[in-house]
Amino acid sequence: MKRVEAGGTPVCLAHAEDGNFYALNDICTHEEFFLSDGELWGLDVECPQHGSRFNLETGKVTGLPAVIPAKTYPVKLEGDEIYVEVPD
Amino acid sequence: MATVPKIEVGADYKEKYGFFVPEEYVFKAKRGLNPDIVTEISWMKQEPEWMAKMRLRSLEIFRKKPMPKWGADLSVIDFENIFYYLKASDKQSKTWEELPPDIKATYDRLGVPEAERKFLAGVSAQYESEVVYHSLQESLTKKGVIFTDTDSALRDHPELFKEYFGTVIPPADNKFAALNTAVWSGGSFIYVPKGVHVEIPLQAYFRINAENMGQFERTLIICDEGSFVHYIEGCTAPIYTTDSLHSAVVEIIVKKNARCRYTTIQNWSTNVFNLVTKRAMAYADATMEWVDGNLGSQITMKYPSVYLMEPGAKGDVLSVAFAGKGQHQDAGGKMIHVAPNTTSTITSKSISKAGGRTSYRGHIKIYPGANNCKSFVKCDALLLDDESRSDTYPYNDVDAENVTLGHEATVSKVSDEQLFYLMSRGIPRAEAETMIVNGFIEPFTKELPLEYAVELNRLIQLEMEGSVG
Amino acid sequence: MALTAETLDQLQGEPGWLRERRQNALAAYETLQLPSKTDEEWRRTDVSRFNAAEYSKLEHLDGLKLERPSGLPAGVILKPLREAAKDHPDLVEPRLFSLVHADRDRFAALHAAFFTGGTFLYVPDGVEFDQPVLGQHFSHAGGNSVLPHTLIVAGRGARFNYLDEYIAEDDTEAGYRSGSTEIFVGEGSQVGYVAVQKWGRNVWHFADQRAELQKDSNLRLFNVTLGGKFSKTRVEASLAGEGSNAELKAIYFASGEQFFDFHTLQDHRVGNTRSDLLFKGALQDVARTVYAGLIKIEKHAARSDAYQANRNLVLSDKAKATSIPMLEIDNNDVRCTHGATVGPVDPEHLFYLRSRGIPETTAKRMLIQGFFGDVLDRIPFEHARKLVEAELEARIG
Repeated sequence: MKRVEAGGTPVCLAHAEDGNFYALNDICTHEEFFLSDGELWGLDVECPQHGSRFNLETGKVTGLPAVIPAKTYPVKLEGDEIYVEVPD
Repeated sequence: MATVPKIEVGADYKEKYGFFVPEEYVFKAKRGLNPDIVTEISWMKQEPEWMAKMRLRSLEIFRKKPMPKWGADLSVIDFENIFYYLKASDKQSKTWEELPPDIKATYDRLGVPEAERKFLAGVSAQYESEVVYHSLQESLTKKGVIFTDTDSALRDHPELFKEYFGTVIPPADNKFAALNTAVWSGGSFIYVPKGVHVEIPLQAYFRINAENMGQFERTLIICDEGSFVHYIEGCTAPIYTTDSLHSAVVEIIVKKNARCRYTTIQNWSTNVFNLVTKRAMAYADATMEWVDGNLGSQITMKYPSVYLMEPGAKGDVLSVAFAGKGQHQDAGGKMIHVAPNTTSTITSKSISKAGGRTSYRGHIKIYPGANNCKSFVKCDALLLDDESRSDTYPYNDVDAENVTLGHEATVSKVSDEQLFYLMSRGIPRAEAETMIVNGFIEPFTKELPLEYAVELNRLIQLEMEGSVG
Repeated sequence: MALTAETLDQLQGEPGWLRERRQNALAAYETLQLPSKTDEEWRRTDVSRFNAAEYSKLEHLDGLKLERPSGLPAGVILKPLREAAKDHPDLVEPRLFSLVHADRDRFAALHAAFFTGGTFLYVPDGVEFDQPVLGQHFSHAGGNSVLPHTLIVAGRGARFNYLDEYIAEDDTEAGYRSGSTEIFVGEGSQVGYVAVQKWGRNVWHFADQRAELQKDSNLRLFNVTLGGKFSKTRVEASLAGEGSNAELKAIYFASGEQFFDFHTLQDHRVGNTRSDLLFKGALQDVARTVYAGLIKIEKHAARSDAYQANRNLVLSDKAKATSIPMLEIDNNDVRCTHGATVGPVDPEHLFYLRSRGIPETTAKRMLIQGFFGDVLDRIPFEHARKLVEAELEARIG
């Protein structure tokens, strides 16, 4: 997992065990810590501070204490380049 | 005026709860906390690999997380001086007679078997780390109700268990949730199927007997749609000169239209640190009620919470805390409104005496979109002398539309007028004060089953006489 | 450019002791950490986008305009603070930053190092006057720091009123502002103090107000917060003498993207003291407010009476209000009550007014005015009350 900036938006870019890349807003919806500092659990990312979990694909909360889903962004792979599409 | 039940004066905690029996253990892990102890606990329990891994990871989280900077002073806890796992009996009994005589005598003295005969549908008795006795009325078993200890549930209901365990309170939630997840043992597992109402309460009794014991029970309750259950827990321990640690995690899921009531009468001896995480998720039109009484322990930090996940969900916390000499009760509640049209109330009553300190700490959070919510918090504190202290720390965050939130608190002493009135009628001062205190906490006692209400009033009387601690 | 020791060169002609004090505050500023999200006081208050370096041009004397009441009694000293520091070191030196500590946090240190003027008012024992002192602080050119500091000393039995008004000439300019106040409320004195903060909507504002009350004194302190994109105000009363009485009231109206933070303290250090706090605010659009207040009754402060209330009127679905009223009570012979509410305009009241044929917008405006009504009545003197009513009228409009 890696933190990247896209157009001023902090993005958590994850390379998951299924081989795919996923991107979601890096700010945990619970207390605003960075998800990219956390750990991957299958297709979930776990916030390092309080253990909230979000599904990488949908952003859905899969474990409290967060309750608001994370924003997810489409990822495109072109050769060695990874593109994350963040709306304005 | 509230009436005080006739009770014998002069009995004290040591007599009634504070006794201990000589230690005899089937297995006692070494003092201290390390990966070997954690692995050993998991091995003793013959757990699946995922749980062993989760325990070790939680230990790492526990190590990394700082101690809370707020609340009570926890710096005195020596985590290396604690026994994390003690097994007192090699099997779990279904009748009291099968128990080792010492343990049976303990529960007899605490009146648990008698209570079971009279007014309980099921009983679980935990002694140190393991549940030693378990029963559930057959009619409930037939309806599909599961009431078992949490270790057996992992073995016997692995899918149900794995679906919910740690989803309400993840190990990283806080330092003590991480500790519990690393070394948990015992606790209750309850599943109430759709539409089933368990009309009479289920009870668990937690007992610490050994010195420097750490008790880390883990409770998971799932109320399926339209069901109801009332679960009661009680806890006591002997009085030692060195400290014990009780750090439980309780996770509850209350599904659509279901209702769960969780009642605690915490009466640990005043050498126990009681650091507990309790959290429930309430779905559409479900109701979660925490009835939380904290009388014992040296330090308690406990804030039962309800996540109101879907419209119509309702959460209640009714909390009573009594802090005598050397005690700090840091208690309260949290209501997290995630969905619109959800309601919550927190009522807190606290009493401080002889230098004791009570703190109410609460959080009401209304998330964006959770419109038309209502939440009301009422805290009343009674200070019985000028040695004692009371604090109120309510956090209220409103991020939604058309929300009505109210918080009120008062701090007062026993009024001279009331006292004078009673004493002028020939009631001795101490007894008059007890009557006033019992009147003060009546909103709490009236929510308890009668037998517990009587017991609570008796405990208050003991505290008021200063015979405890 | 940053705010550094060179910046201090903009402030010439000060006595050595003041220079030294500024240097110490600057040193504190440089060692103190920025508050982090795990500090309770700053958990909901994001200062990460505040960059003091952007505002390194200090506004000289902060455009202070002092209106002296006509016929000020003899012995009253009223002059710009920097002037008073030169002329009356005996009065100023022991008091300046003795209530508002320079090393409390990074922002207090920044203010103490670079404060750009402000007012000194000294009212000797037994002196009374009716007409209020008016201090108006203007900001001029954009991109600067305007950091006035007010120091008020009330002698025994003195009685007077004071108004600080923070005024933006250009509502859109960006900048760094602070308006801190220290009030020494002498034995038996009666002081009314009103601060009306209406800086522009793009400024960062930090204010520390602290009053110390001696025996049988009476303070009525009133805050009005309307301006700034970010405004953090600490209001603290230390009840140090028996029989003292502090009334702390405030109104705030937050709209657009404004963020307001209030931290209050009612510190009852001795017995037989009274404090009464009421903070009332309305929020609309995407505004956010935080109120956190503490009543502290210290061990020997028996027979104290403290009241604290925060009421929030939320007028939009995107506004956010946080309210944290706290108590720490260490004595049982006291009366303490506090309360907080967050809620919308009462639909029943709205319905009633509409049923009388009053259009919805008018009805809402009436209800907002009604909401502020009881606290407006507590503004200590007429001049300030009229000013605040007009400001509110314009905003609710």
